[in-house]
Amino acid sequence: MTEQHIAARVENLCVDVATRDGSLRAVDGASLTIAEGEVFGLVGESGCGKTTLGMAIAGLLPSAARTVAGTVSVAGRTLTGLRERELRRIRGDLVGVVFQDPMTTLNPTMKVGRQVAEPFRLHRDTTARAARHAAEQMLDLVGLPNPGRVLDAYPHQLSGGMRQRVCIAAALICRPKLLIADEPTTALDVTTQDQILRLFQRLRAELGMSILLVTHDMGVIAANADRVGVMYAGQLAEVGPVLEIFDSPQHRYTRALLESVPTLDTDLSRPLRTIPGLPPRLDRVGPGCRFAPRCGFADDACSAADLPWRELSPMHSHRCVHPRGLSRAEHSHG
Amino acid sequence: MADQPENDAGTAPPLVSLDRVVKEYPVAGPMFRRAAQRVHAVSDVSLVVPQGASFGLVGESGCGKSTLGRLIVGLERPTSGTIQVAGEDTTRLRGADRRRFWRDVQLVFQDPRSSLDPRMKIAASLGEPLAVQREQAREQRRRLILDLLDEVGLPADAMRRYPHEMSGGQLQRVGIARALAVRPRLVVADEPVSGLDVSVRAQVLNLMRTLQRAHGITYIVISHDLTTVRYFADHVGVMYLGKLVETGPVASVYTRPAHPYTAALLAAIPHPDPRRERHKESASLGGDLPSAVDPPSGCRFRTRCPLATELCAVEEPRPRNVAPGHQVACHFPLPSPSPAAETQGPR
Repeated sequence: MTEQHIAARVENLCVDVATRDGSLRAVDGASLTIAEGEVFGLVGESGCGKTTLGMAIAGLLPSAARTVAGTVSVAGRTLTGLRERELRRIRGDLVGVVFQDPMTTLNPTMKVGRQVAEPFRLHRDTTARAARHAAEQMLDLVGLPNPGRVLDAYPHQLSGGMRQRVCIAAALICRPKLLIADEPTTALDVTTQDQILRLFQRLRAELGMSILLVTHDMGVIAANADRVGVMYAGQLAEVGPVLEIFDSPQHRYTRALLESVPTLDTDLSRPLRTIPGLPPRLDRVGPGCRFAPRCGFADDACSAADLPWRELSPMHSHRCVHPRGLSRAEHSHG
Repeated sequence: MADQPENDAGTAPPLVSLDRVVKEYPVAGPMFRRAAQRVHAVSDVSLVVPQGASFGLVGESGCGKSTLGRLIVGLERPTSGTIQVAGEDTTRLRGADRRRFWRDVQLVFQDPRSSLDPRMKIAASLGEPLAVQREQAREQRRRLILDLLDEVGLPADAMRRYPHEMSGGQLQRVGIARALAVRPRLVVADEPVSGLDVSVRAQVLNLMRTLQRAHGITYIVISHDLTTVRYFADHVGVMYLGKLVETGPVASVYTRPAHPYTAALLAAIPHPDPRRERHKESASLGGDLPSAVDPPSGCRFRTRCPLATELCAVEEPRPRNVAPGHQVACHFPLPSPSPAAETQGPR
């Protein structure tokens, strides 16, 4: 990946969250790059820090959270360290964000057209009429039938899938380089999810943007991501191309996670694979691998401080002391 | 469905039978509406769940599956039709019979946090159904609670904890223990694992399956997640907009879906397999769910169905058998895939 083909670069990002009992490190030393036009899937269970990482990249952390170290740059512009006002001025052109629940994202008292056009009016010095026209085009682009009428609708008049399309239109109206989608289909039914995920793929191709897809769902990752980052307890455990992650997961956590997902092919005669125990509390993590207490392969070496990243290939690395090695699938596929 | 299916799970007598169950709610709609409108939440559903079976009820939000669950456990009364549990009409139960019914039938909810009293220790939450249902000595109750905790894989000291001190997975175990405390005959679980993370979800699913086999309890699991239901249930019913559109053994319905809606639902599930996902050929189901206030005439799925004809708008399809115990309400059921295609599983 040469420098000019990188849409976003995150280096050693650390985010602290203030709680009643002191400060927690919700994201600990995350580094990743997202290529132009790439869908990067960020996957993990609740509390692993994937959403916090996504919001830190967007510069939209809640007030209790703060980026304390590391850098984020999008399309060559460094976003970390900018004042809120500067950030607000340039963010719309660089980063768009879609959240899980479209009903809480949209203002229920404002017509759809105004909400979609708003970022356009703020970022482009333009007339209300031109902004409305741009909004109508966006609504058409995200596949809403009869966009002219949707402009004058209120959010409650639309279905959940239509509302999420409206949110996507608002996020993309300034044509950002990077779209951050945080569990964008989790609140939707499976057939609607299918429609929205296909829409992302189409928009990615038509607009040439990159997507950071934050999700807990390995199926959504498999269907949409080009590369995958697996997070556990605030840290990235493994990053690699989607086929390699599924065919030959290296980190023991990645493997355990994949095996505990029931699919339409799971052998029903045997119990599902489970991961014993629970993720650690972030105020009680020590040095070493955070998955070790739940891992059947852990030994003393796993508790060493500063576990290095190991490279399987230039695009695939992990931090497991006892990686799984190449799988049969890997050998047979060459 | 209107036609009663032959008892497909062999010789087991039915524990739950629904006959043409309808549930409608008046709409609190616009102030100056022309006529009183009704939401058709459950429309003409007939269904038999044999003793000891585990039945999965699937569909998307708004299909009526949760309403049907609430009707079965007696939290709602049907607008018309009858619901029988263990041969008794549940709407006519009074007094001691009604009390017994509340013990025989238990519910497990999606969010155990909201179904447990935050100010009550786990022991008290588990002891409550026992105390309500039976007169028992305190020490005996304590023993029962310890046994229950052990059975659902929780340590004995969980007794003294409050809900906020426990994780979601642990709380759902408490929810299951609470349902099992009174040794029910039927457990209705509404999205029992939807709020849980995958690694914990697998633990709870395994637990539910083990307990079901150990006690021979009849289960009705309601879920939007077809993979969960496949893992847990032996029979499945697919609902769409208040109608039961397809029922049958899981193996048959999942590999040879006959209703175009079931097929679309199965195809829409993203598989944790990138190769398969990238070669998915099926088109996604278009459009949105129609309003349950004014459902389409004839077949309710026709407005989104790729196979719909004029017939579908005029005549409501009656359920018909497509395989042993496998019924579909469709004028144009999908043919079974050829044996060659079948080896690739559901698509």
